[in-house]
Amino acid sequence: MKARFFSFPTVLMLLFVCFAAIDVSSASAASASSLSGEIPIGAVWSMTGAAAVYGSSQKNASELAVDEINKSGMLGAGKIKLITEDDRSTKEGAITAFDKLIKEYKVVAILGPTLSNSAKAADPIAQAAKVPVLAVSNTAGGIVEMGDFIFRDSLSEMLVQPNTIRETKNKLGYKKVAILYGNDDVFTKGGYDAFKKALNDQGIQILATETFNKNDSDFSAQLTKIKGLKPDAIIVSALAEEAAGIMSQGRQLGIPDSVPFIGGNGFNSPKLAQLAGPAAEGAITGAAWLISNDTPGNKAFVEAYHKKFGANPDQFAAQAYTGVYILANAIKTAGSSNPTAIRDAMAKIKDMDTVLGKFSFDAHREPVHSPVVQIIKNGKFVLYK
Amino acid sequence: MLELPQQLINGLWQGAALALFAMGYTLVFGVLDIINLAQGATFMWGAFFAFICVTKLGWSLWFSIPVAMVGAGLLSILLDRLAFKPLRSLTSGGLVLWGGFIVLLVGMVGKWAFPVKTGITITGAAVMLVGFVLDYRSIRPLRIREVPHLAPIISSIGATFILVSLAINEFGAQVSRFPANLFPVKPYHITADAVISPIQTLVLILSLALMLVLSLLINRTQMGRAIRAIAWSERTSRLLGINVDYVIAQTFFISGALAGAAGVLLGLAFNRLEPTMGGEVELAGLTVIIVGGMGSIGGAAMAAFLVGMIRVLSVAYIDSSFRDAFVFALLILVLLIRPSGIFGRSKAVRA
Amino acid sequence: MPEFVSNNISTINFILINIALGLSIYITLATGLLSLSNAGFMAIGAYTVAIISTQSNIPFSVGLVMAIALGVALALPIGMLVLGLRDIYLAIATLGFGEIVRIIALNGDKVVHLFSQNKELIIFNGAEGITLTYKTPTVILGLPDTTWPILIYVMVIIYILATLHNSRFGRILASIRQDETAASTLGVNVVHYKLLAFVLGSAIAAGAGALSAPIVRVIDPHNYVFSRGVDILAYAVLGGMTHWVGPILGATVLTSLPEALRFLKDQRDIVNGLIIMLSIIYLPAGLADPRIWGLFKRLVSFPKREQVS
Repeated sequence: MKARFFSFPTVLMLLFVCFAAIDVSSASAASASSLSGEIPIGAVWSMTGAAAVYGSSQKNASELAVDEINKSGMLGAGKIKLITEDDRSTKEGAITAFDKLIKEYKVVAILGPTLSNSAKAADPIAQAAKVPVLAVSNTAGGIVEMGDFIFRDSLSEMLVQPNTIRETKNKLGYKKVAILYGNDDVFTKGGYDAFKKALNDQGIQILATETFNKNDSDFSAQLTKIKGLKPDAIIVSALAEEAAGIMSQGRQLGIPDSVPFIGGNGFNSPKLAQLAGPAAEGAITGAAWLISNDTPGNKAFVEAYHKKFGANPDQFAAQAYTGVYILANAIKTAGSSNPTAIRDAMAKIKDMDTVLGKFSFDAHREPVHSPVVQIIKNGKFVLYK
Repeated sequence: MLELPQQLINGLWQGAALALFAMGYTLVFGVLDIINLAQGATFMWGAFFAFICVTKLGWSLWFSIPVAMVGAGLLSILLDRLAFKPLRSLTSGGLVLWGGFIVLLVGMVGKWAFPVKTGITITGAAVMLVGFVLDYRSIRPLRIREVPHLAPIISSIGATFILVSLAINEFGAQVSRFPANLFPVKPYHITADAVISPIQTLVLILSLALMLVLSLLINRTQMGRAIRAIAWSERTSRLLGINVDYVIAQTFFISGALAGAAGVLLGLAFNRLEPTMGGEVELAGLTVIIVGGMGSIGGAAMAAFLVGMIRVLSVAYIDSSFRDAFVFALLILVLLIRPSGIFGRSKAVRA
Repeated sequence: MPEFVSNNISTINFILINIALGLSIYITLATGLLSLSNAGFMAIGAYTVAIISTQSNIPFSVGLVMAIALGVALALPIGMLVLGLRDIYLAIATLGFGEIVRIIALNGDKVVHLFSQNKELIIFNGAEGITLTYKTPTVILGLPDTTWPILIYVMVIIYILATLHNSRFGRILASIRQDETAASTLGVNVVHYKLLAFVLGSAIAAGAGALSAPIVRVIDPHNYVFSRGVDILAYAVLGGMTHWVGPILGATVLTSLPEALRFLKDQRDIVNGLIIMLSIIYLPAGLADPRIWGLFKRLVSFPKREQVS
């Protein structure tokens, strides 16, 4: 064989040179120390890609909370240094970000990631390294089960929706419903599972189950089919963007106002009423947070958020904001920035005042606070009574 | 089946929406034999141009739509110059244009203080303008190239990334909508149970009208003759004294303007504007122009209605989860049985 | 493990997987075929391994072989059907195939329920996908035991492709790319060789998908959307489509770039788009362009050798 430039050993050598070249960011973070100086906390949000909408809310809210905490001197001489990473809405991105935060930045705790499936892929890395993770938007099953360092402050749909169905059924007395849900998204699929179980438990008949894809904009075919079945209510597990389209198109197709749209956490965004306009009137949703909550600090949070980012916060923002406060509280109680100490302090959190309400973790590190059922009246979410 | 009339209307309307998008798509293919995957991004920018006009400048919708069409058309010409033209021939002006584009991008996305940012952006735009003129006036290119067929596809994928990211930078990733009450919403009743909304009616009529206008334009006018000549053979057209560059620019302008109009109207109809809105319509549009026969305008329109019907009827009578699988199965089937498309003719008589 | 490797082990894993994916599309591109089904075959490989390891006790190595075998078994009939199409038509047909694979993965349990008595059986688990259990990797000879199989796999592919490159087979593929008609006039069985290239590429992609499963651990349809196919294409385009070194360089650069250019993290897509456009326009032969290497060679003044390309 002729002598070649692209010979096997040369290529191998090149490969390793390339590996070496990627290490341009030098290890810069301070090592864990007592409550003085910077306390590095990681945050992994989906700032680009499919989930960018939610990631940007979370990024805004977490930065707002960190600013407030650092200004207030809540941690004495300590200051939180928030290191935000983008996982590009992918599992690969989340894994790389966790690796980087833990090994290079030596963070003492991690917030996120935005998506449940990214959490399932990345959280075990933190668990193995004994760095606590606080999920603020993962609602799927199998999150906290990954280990004793994994917490979440986001109520899973399984905890919210039985309550929604029970309350609305008592008041509206519906007997047969149709379901419409996004089947290619973990969040909305999880909502569907929870609704289906709650409906079965309450003995409500499901006339039809229709699906759509995330980013679909035309739902007329599904809605026409549902309209023909004449349900008493329509259960929708969708994120606000799709839910808005479903409601406007449903009303336009002549689904009467007496048939309400009932949804889950995904509805809980100011976008819903803004996008759907009058069609969103009367939409009912079970959720973890109500924008008009009179919980301590909620009003201040909504105002500060609006002032800084020019829009009202959604539930993703509220939960991320709460997440930072929960971590800060744990660090303060632990009196140290040792990850294990923070974990232990976090596990003991009971009846903490947050914008979500009185907040505790149960023995399985699941959040305990009461969900709300809300209804859109005059374009605003109010408590459903 | 009580809901059948409504489902047929739904299918018709979905078809009309797709047809509106697909016509510009298929036009560029017919002339240049390239698939412009950035058409979806042009569509999105068209919608956002109108959005800016309506919300920031307070113009009326009827004035904003033509403005958005012109904006999207110009964007489309620019796309040709940046992404496709250099693949046909390299010119020094093209290099200047690219240099200006990079400066412009740096200015637009950079996080500098006010005067620096504006300065860099304007410098970039000015350099681009110079490059554009130079590129257009250059008679002898540095190199005429034969690139592989897949090059334009890849290049336009790259352009899509840039255009979508720019939109996210400018407008944020979240969904926006046109202000309410721009357009009447009270639906018309076709039968007691079947309705169609005013905006849907408008899209339906407009897509049929544009189809007619476009085929007249191609078949009956001097410009159409030039476009068809280039579709036949670029070289021969040059020898016949046709200003090929100018005609190609015209084609891109029309195609972009159509995409822009589609963007505004569908953005209005669905109450939904977002930087990624081009992605969904793009795959569906691709199916439509393949099934219709690439480069055939009438075929694309017919295929759009067919695809719309299949999407709706598969939801209505089979299972919504498999809706897109049916569409792609149709696509593959058509490709295997009749690669020139159901309504297409062979290349020699096309366009 | 040296600190650099241990700090960046995830990035290294993903670079290796992406190299394998880049090579899988390279082999078809080198034949002049634009096939976009690689993400689909990657899904087939990953789901095969994931289902086997959650539903049975078959070891991973056997699962890997089965994944590749399934990839070949599916690629053969599909290749026979679609390879008659040219350029864009082929691209779109294969893209459609990839999307169908994704839709089936999403609704796999519905398909299973059609054939199974047990209507509660969950295998594919829809959008949530299949989660594999996490095992803390053990370090063998300086690398985790999850990295070794991928490294070996990539080395084997490179070895095969390097051998093919200089063989009659490689030259035939190149001749088909350059001029299909001329090649067939010279007596090359074009259809046969195209099919071989397609099957080889699909098998490589299926294997890469299978090997990625223990790293990503959550196998859901979102991993294999259209944009994944575009990413894979970009590796080969940036690197170059005429030499197998191309995709290696392309995958390495594009995977590590976001890590290296951290200051650009919000603008990653713009940089990505620019790289794709500029490289296809001004660097059509990619980073592995023999001219660039010639220049490089002269700069470092290697002894004069014969040029191969």
